[in-house]
Amino acid sequence: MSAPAWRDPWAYVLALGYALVATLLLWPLANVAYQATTGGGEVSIWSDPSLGVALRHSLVVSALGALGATALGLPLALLCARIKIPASGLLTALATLCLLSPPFVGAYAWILLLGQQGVLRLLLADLGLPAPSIYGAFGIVIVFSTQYFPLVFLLTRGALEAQDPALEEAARSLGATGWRRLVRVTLPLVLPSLSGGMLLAFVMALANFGTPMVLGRNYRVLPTLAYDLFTSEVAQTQPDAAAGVCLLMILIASLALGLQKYVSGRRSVVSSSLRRTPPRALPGWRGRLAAFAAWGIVLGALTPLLTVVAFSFRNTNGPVFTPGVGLGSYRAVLHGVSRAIGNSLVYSLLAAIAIAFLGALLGAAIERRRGLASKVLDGLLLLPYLVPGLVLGIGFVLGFQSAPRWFMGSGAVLVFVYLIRRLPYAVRANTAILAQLDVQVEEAAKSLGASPIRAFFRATLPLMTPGVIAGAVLGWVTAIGELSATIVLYEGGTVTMPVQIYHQVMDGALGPAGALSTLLLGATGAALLLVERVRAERV
Amino acid sequence: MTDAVGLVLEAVEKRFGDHQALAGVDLTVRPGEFFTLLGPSGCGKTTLLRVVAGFERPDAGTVSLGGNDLAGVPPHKRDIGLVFQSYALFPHLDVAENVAFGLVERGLGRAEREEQVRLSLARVRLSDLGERAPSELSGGQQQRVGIARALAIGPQLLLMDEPLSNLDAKLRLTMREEIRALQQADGTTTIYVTHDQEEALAISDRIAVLSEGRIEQVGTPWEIYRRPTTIFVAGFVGQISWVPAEQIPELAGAASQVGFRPEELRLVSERPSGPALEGQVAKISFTGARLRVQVEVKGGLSLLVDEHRPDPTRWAVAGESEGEGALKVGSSVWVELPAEGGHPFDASGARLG
Ligand SMILES: Nc1ncnc2c1ncn2[C@@H]1O[C@H](COP(=O)(O)OP(=O)(O)OP(=O)(O)O)[C@@H](O)[C@H]1O
Ligand SMILES: [Mg+2]
Repeated sequence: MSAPAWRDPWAYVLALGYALVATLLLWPLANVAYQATTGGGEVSIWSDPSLGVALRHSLVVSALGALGATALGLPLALLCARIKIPASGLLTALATLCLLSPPFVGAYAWILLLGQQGVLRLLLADLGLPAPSIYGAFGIVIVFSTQYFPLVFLLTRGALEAQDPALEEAARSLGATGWRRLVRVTLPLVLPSLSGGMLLAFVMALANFGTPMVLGRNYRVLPTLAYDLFTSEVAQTQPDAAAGVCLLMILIASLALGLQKYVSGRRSVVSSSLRRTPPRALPGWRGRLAAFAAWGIVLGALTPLLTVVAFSFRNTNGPVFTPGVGLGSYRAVLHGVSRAIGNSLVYSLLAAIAIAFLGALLGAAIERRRGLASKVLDGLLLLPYLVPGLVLGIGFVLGFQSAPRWFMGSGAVLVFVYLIRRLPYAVRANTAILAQLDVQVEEAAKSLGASPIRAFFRATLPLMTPGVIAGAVLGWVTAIGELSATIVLYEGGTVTMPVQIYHQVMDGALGPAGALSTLLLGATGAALLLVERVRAERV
Repeated sequence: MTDAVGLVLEAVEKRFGDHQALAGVDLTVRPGEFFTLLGPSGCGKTTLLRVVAGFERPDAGTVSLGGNDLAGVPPHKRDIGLVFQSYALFPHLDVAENVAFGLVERGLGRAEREEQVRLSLARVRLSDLGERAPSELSGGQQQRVGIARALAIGPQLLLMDEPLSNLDAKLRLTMREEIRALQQADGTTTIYVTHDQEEALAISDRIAVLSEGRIEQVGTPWEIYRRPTTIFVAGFVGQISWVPAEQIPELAGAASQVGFRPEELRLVSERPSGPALEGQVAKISFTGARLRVQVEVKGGLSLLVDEHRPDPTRWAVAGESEGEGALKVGSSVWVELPAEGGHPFDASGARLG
């Protein structure tokens, strides 16, 4: 590690990382902050009552969404971690699909179920029952809960499985059973992961733009308020007010992160044991009940998505479904908006390739070249977790107004936004993998005469490949479904599938919206299957 | 307590898939006794302990404590304290809260609880560390907290599964003395699991030697070592060298082979008057307090002989000697056998006499 910096290739990689973060993250955010503090419009946003309302709404739906996600995800995690559930691999994959499905497709699905013409509403009406309105806070919370429960589920289950079984046995032998053991031992032990999952759910709900846009109507939250202020759809544009709202969102997300760190960090509960608690087979009716409950949660959360798929084959005429089934919607989509499909594929693929490549290099540089520079970069890469896509999009518009047209007017800007938003996830995944890989493999390669970079490519990278591929695929999945940054950055020629679906839903073109959503879901599902295959091959 | 009964196991069997982990175990542990389960890895010690604790349900047989059948009694109603190999301290609670855990479940009032915690921590000499987190303690301290936590509930029976195996050798020695002293002080009936025979011999009132899910022998350390009743026990506890009957007809009697402990044999240079075998020194290992000499006897037999307080003029260890004609690898020697006859076993593996 004492090689002079100019001879150390990892130093160049870190420099590249800093360059990316500075231009694609810090510069746009600085512009947002500048605009918010010095914009000086006629009326300050801070005294505008609509901000207070939107703030309250955002806090309410995000908090309730996170709680709803916990209500679904925590029991599911307890069931799957402690009891053998049939086909639990498939269950996990389907839960992941709920999480990674394009954010507003769920919202659209609930319109199909509970909107004015919703099947469920009509069904309930036939029974003489009133159906709740899907528009407003209720619908938004439902969509958030069913979309973000896998975050709580996956993180908490991991922690539950990693627990030393002796801990629960000790609690039992000391007299704590059932609920008491859960509350006194099991839950405190998984609190870091549980609260981490809840935090992610809260932050993602807070940043979610598509769902409240589709379902909110008059129920304005911070992202929709910022969007309305920033674009001219409602009245005169107020970029400084929008920037103020953006700052507020980042502030809330940061506070939430701080709160979670405080709650979970007071006492280290890292288990040093190598033993893990395996799920037990539970025979008889109790086992069947457990399986029923676990699958019920996942299938229940999946139902709206399945509804979208099913309805995409129905005949439509504008906002109404007509009798009969067919491929009319798909024909309309392929003829009418093939450009959106093409754009989405190209941009997301380019972003995924960049994410894979840069994620591996930066992950390695951060993990292998420990020092202040890599630590700070690692910290900066936390930012995209906290910055809503809409905020970053607005930051790009503000920061690159005078950038050349080939950048702002083309798909390049979208590729870069997708890259910087998802790169941190890939970097994190790679540092985690590298931390487990034996440094000695690389050292052996160096002792055999390979230069540091060559040692990395020849000895370490092959071991990382499955993780890198998985990261790239997940990056692709999230890029192809990205709406909140794209919506402020796209131009006529660079429209993408999510933007197209959004406009179709708003225009009431239910058929094409369903068909496009189904294509998007199909792509997501296929990508997840690929990841699963890669993972299976590794073990 | 309906004393004088203790823990009684009758014909306990446990099977995992097609592996018979316990193959009919009968056992009685007397009240106040320090009872050790000793056996090689995988012989079923932990399984037996978990059956007693109630974490595994036996496929057959009965377990009773203080005269009460434990079938169907869940672990938390058994009044049995557990000490784990991995300590299993609750990392989210401090030391005092760990010790208080079972007392809270028993609904003790705050004052009573604090008093009990104070007493328990004092007993394991950790009075000052009540507010530490488990991760801030050394391994030995953590295990003492584990013991205090188990004892705080005043269990009828204390189960310890290899509690010292995560500690270094020195600490193991002092900790085992401490555990023994604690148990002697309050007389809690204790079952202790180990695969370290020396540990078992040092601290137990009685030992049960297990092999492949069966009890081979139950007895005091003295009996187990001095009068092993099966060939397995003779070989597992301490060292033993086997001599076929035809080589020592004068000693063997009806036995098919006779075993000798290293300290029961003596090396002499001249043929002694009693029973003896002639051979060559094949290996000398020096461990400080004693010399262990391996002697090759005709017939491909090899005997281990211990020489305590070895005479430096008589031995050449690692080429060093202080005397002329000292014994070294290759020297011819006589191994003198004890007149009382060693450990004779018949062809079926049963001990004679
Ligand atoms: N839950 C289980 N499922 C299947 N087999 C098991 C289970 N628990 C124990 N066994 C098997 O039963 C046998 C006895 O195991 P046990 O843990 O009781 O051994 P042990 O005497 O405690 O060994 P050690 O000294 O290594 O701890 C082993 O062969 C083990 O593989
Ligand atoms: Mg064991």
